[in-house]
Amino acid sequence: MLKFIIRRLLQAIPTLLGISIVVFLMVHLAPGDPVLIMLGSQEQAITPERIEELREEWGFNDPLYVQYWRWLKNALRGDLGKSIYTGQDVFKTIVERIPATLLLTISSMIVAIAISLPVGIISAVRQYSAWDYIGMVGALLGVSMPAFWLALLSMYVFSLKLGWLPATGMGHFSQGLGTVIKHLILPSFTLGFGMAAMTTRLTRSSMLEVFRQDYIRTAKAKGLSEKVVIYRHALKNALIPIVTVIGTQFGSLLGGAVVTETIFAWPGMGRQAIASIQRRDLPMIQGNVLLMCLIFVLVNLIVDISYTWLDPRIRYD
Amino acid sequence: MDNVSQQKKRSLWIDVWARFKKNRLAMVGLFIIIVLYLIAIFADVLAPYPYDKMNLSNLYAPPGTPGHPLGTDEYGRDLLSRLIYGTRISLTVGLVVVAMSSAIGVTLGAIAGYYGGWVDSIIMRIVDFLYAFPFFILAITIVAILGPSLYNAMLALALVNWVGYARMVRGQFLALKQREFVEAARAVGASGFRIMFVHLLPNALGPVIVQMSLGVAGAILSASGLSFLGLGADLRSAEWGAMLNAGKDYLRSAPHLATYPGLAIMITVLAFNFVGDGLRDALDPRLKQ
Repeated sequence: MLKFIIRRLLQAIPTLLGISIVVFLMVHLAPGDPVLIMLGSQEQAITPERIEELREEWGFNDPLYVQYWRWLKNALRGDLGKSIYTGQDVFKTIVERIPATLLLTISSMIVAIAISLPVGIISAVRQYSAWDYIGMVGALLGVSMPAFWLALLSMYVFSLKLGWLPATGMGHFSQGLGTVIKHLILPSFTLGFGMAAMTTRLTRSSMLEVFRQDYIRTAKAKGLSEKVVIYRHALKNALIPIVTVIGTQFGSLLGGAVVTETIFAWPGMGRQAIASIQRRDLPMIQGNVLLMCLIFVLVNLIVDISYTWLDPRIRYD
Repeated sequence: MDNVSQQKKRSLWIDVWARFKKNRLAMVGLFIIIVLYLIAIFADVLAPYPYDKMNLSNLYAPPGTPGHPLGTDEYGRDLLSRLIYGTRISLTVGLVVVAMSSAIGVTLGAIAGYYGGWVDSIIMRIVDFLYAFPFFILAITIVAILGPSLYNAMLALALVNWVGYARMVRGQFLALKQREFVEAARAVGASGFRIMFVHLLPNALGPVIVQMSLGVAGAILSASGLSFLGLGADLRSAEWGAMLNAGKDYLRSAPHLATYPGLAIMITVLAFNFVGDGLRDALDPRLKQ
């Protein structure tokens, strides 16, 4: 087990290096002079001589691989530069926002799983029943609904009209856990709904697939109750493809969080990323992309490792 | 004898169509798509006003106002007309993104699957690498580099979405190239490209078409998301996501501005999803049992 985890960690290194190269290259791929980009819009009247000086000073005249190595060494020490817009340290600013984003994405995932597993299982067990039909049409609607639209609608109904829940912000833990949970309900439901829809469809098809296996017939033939067959025999096996998808779905949750955080003014990385794109604050954009990808790689690592628990046949050697 | 020749004419696609026709949801989806295309084509005739015609004496008119069945927006522009013109943008975005991403993905997947070896390794490393990024964030990153515009949003989505086609086509080709008809084609001296695109591709087309139909749905959804964030179509255009972006600031006073464009997106995306699901069931009847 430990050997597998170490090997899986080593396998993640090339991916991480690739991500770092892409993020590093952003400055050079953006149209325009990197010096002018890094200066932002503050300095309009700058002489060509001053640009040359800065180019030398900031090391843009060095070969690309030298620049990359320098950038990577700094990044590993947690130095991602300073924001063009606010002058604040990029790494520190973003790290402060990671907990809010993780809180939102993980609660959305819990919402999604809490909806999709029961609905998917019922749909599969009672295939072609009214429940199945309602569940599947609901899931298709969920897949097709823009999350930002659902967010706006629920904000209109539940905060503006009914006044039950706060429309924006996160509250603070010092105001009590209840305040934060109240703020969390709308964002996490609107973000989790799309994932719930997708996972419901998968749970259903995965359960149906497992129901056809011989060992289920054996279990039934032994005279075990339906409950035991469904939950002990079928569900655990049906979970394997579901867990894979939950891992990749975490990526779309992070992407969706960008939208949800912007709508609900949630103080996370996503909102920060959009704000920095609008200000063309390149170091901040780089930092956000880098850390979001890092989190995504980490989550997939955890998912991969959890396989071995779900399916002891998987040994990866 | 007559019977035999008639049976030969029943191609795979006629069977697929026969099964597809029986799927009610899929037919509803197809009907909606046809209607949407007609709306897009005849937008000039159907829309009561030009999409950018302002009327500053009639701002935020609620739905049901005479002359403006869905009301007007913050510049007094007729919402129904804007929604009608918006079909042009969204349907174009869906088609362009899918055309670009499937062209890249199918070509690279075909090359990787057919030739194998180091070509395959390089292409699949790139694919695996792109899978390490959260897709929407990668798209946002590309738009952030290139600068926000609808054109760049489409380009970003195409650059992100091709990997699915590549993986799928490669898998199909790996299995298909072992078959006798490929050997036969090679024996009569067909070139690699001829075998790939004339002999192999038609046999791998089914899943690709399903993926394209679902891909249009996904592309419309993602592009409207990018526009909503201000990274796609600009606010003056009649793009549905951009309309929602503008409408979100008037949620309290004019909720219709944040309602109808979203409904339009959902109906369009739903129709393509219905058709995609229907095609999948029609192409692979074993799944339907």
